[in-house]
Amino acid sequence: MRNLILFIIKNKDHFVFSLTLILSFALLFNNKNDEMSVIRGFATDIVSFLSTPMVKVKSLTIVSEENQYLREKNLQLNLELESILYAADENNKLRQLLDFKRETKLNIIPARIVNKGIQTNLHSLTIDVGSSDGLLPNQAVLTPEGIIGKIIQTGESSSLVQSISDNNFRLSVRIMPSGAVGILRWHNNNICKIYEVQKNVEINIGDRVITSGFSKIYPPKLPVGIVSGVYDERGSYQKVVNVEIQSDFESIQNIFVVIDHNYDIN
Amino acid sequence: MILIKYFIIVFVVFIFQIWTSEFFTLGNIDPDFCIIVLIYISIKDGSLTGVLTGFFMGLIIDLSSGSNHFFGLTPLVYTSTGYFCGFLYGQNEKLNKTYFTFIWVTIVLCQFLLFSLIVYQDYLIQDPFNFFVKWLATSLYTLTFLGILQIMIPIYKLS
Repeated sequence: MRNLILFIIKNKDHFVFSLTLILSFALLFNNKNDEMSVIRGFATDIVSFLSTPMVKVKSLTIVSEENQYLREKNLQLNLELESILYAADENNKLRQLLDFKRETKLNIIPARIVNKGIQTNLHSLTIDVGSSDGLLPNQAVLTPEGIIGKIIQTGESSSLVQSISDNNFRLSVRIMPSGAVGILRWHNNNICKIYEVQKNVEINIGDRVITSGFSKIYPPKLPVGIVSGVYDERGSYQKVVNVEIQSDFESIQNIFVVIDHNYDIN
Repeated sequence: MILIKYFIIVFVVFIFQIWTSEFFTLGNIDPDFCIIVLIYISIKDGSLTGVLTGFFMGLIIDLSSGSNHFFGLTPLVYTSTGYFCGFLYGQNEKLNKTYFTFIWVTIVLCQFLLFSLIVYQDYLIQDPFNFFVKWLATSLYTLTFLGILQIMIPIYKLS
């Protein structure tokens, strides 16, 4: 017996190895044991508890990355939204232009503004149609909202338009329903003034201003703007009328040129 | 006293393995830091310590995995690794450095082969090439860390 114990002690490495090997095989072949499942469940809880600090650190890292990602996404979506709103706005404007072209009896051709105000002494617009499209100087340029200028120079494929905002631009207009006529010129910020209006005529804010038809350039009854103020000139028999022209004058992109001079507005 | 020391080491390595497993994952391959520590312990203190450490380390890992599959496999593999690495205890004077290194690298490769043969047995039947890729990739990834550690604490001198 003593010799056996001494033998075991001498070869304890091999005995312990054999014992652990047997235990390992026993565990391997008793995988489905319910009691082991309970112990493993308990062990999983402990591992879960031990993992918590690292999970928190990881989640902090993820939060930072996620924040960055969401910021980028937000910016991207904002840009997309702006693009969609711009497209919708442009769509509406083009739809209005299309309706105007369909409904009007004037002989007009569409054009696109390609530049604004190249010359310092003249408020002008450059459009993408020219003499090859039938354009000539002194043809009226308008939008569905009203007159915006006249052609002053034509090239082969582009033309220069004197804008209504130019200081030397004049337009003969009629104020409705009174029928009073006057000469319109630009003042500032989408406001024009009508001079030479008789003092005894009744004009109210909100009255429509249209072209008079006295000019050979502009057909009669084209919209120009709305009366926004009326003032009496001191020591004069005339009054001055403020007119608000189309509100998006600075952002116009598409216009029409009236090419037919033998128009019949009725 | 030595058991407490190794218990603390095993616990620390186990925590390290849990915390950093995702960080060091390369595709589907994870390094096995526990086996690295087990090799050091076995070669430093012999088979008995290696076997006991390997068994308990394997048991903790299998318990923590929460899976019903192959419960007991890790103690089996770790015990064998600890046992065979233990034979290198005190052998640095008898064996040259290359031969000594070759033996523990072979033990690591065999340990991973045994593990892969049981865990990835389906792969072995359906796609043997992928099985060998998986086995070699896992082994070599762990051996890379073991190699890096050799610069700081050479196993050969530890023995």
